[in-house]
Amino acid sequence: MAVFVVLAVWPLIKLKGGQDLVNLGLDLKGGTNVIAGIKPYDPKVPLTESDVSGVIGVLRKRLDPQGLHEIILQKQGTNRVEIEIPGEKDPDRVRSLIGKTAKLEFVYTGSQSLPDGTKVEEGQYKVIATGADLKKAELTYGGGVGQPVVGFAFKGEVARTFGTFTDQHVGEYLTIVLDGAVISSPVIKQPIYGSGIIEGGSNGFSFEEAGDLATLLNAGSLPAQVEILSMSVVGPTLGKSSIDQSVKAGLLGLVLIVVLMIFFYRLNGVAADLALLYYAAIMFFIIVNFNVTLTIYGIAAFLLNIGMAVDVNVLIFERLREEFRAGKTLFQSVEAGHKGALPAIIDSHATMFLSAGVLYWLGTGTIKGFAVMLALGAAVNLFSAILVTRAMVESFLGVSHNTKLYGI
Amino acid sequence: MKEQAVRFDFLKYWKFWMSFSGVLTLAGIVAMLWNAYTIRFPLNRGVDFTGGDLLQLKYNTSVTQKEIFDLVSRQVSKEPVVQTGVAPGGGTEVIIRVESGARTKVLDTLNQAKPGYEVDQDMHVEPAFGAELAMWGAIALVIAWLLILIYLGFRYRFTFAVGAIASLLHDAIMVLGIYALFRIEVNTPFVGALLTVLGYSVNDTVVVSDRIRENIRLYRGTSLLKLSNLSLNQTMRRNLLTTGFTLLPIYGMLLFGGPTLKNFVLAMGIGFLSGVYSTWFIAIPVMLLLEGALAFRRKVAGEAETRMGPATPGAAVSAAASGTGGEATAPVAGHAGPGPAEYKRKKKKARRR
Repeated sequence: MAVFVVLAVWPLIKLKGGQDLVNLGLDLKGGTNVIAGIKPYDPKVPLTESDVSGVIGVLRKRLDPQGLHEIILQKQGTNRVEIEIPGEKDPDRVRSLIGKTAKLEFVYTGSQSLPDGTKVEEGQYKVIATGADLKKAELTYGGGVGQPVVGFAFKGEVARTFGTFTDQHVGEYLTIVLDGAVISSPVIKQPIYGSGIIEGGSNGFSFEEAGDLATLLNAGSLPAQVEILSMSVVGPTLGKSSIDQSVKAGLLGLVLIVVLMIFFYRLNGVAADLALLYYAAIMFFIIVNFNVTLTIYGIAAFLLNIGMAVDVNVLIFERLREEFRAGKTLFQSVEAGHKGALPAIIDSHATMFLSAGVLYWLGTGTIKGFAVMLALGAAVNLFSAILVTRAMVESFLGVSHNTKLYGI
Repeated sequence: MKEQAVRFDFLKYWKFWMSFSGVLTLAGIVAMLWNAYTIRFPLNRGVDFTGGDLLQLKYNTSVTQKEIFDLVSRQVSKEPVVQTGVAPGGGTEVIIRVESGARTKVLDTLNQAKPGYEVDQDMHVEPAFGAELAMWGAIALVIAWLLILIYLGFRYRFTFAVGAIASLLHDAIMVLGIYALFRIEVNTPFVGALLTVLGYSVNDTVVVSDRIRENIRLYRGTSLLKLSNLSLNQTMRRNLLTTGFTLLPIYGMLLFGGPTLKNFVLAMGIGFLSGVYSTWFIAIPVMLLLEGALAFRRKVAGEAETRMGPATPGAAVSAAASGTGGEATAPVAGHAGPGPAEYKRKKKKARRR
């Protein structure tokens, strides 16, 4: 019994560690969830696995350039990826970051300067260098008036050939094409070895535009096409009210359960209620320490689990009653109650696991959270409702044998 | 056999209960057909199944549905759905649902004509993707249903398993029927709720089946019908209590939850309630009917089999009628064997759990 007391206190202490440690899902803390499909550029060519992982790698670099890891990218199936960006509120920006192929080309357009936005066909002009040849790109200030531009540096070999080329063609035009459209078409003023800047054509770049382009260039171009299948943005305030509501609901449910268990089963009910609180403590512990993501549905599952947790106790106690009325002693009844109720308990949890399993396999992010919580709760429940309750009841028995107290 | 007080004869009016369920099921199906005719689909699908753009905005001021509707409908080709309601904490909550891709136009218009909102939710789903989600949702339900059948088939007699999943089917149809009737929005979480109903509602059927199994062992030679009735009575209190306790947090969530949570939880509430009902009046009768039918077929092979006790001649008649098309009750009664109303059970069958 002492062991249980210790085990009970330990999770509660951990809980005091701070509720901010709970990892909230996007629907509760706000952010953007995107499900994207990956297709090859050429429909005749099959999509390879390296294409897919390449795409995911590029997207990760685009969305999380500093490697803060707040952003989650998860491959789904063979050609889908689920992206979660906490705190992001601008779906248009996300769309441009994700959807753009970001293929950069420096092409030689001779004596012609092309206006911004002109469509350039594949192979229409001679390509001198591409985005892949860049060593680095960054947001910087320059271009005469100090406006935002993208500074870049070429890799070794290319730096040299690029320098040679620009040396031979001073005065002519070098057009910069991004994803088949012209973004800038400046004249070559002097040979460019190694590094240079890209100005934003006639209108220039905004701070954000230059920064995004630099990010895109650094991340590389997408080896395959990305199509946004669904995008969902949740504002942060919606989450707060959801949490409040569920806390209220949970408390009401819990109070009712505790009271009714005592009403029906007296001391046995008390044992079950204590086991329930212990169960809740274990669940909190797991959620906090294993960084389980909590969505609104996850909270709903948790509340549901609380209701289901006592089901096990009800089955055992009812059985206990029967055995007692059939003539067993109190202690024997406890034993027989547990044994007799066990097959039904196992089967009900098994079907619960089956449902949760199918749900997990089917679901998108938020629903997966529900399935995980449901399964987790069922598993912990098997432990606490059976073992813990029994330990408590047996220790109560050590104190009093008055059958009236046991709601039998 | 030790006579225990059988408080309710659950199975006496089984025909009535089954027809009652039949009527409710029919009502649900009619609702779905009506929906199919009026809104092109048996159920009111949410954005994640139809595709489209959904905007949920909160204004601190008071905004009318008409204003927003007029502004929005000018921008889109298909008639939009605009709902307004009082936001918790004051202000107006506006929900706008338009066709896929119209979101930007709508927001631009609102920015010009009616700014001052906060975006609570901004969802875009490609129609093809939405259709795919819906399909997977339906498949998941079927798979879970089959998995449960297989699992129960292993753990209990096959007839029990069939009875159990018949009751699950009944529960699912009840929920779907009510959602169809009241046109409550159906989305991916709803499918999750249905799956949970499948996994949970079978619990009380399992409890009864386990009890019947035990009683078969304890009271050999008693009719299955009597044993079933006995088992139902013995487990009645615990089935009501377990479902009751699980309904408590659901009740809490219905009371305090927001609209999205309410829709989700309501499905489970309906499903769990139906679950208890269907265990009594669907699962066990179906199981008994199957036992009766199977028994008749086995009789031809010359084995002794489980019989329905003569206490409900109605059941014996239907057993003959359902499984055997035309063969009279006479052979069943005739094979009654020597005198006593109670028929013997074959030991082999009794030993098979």
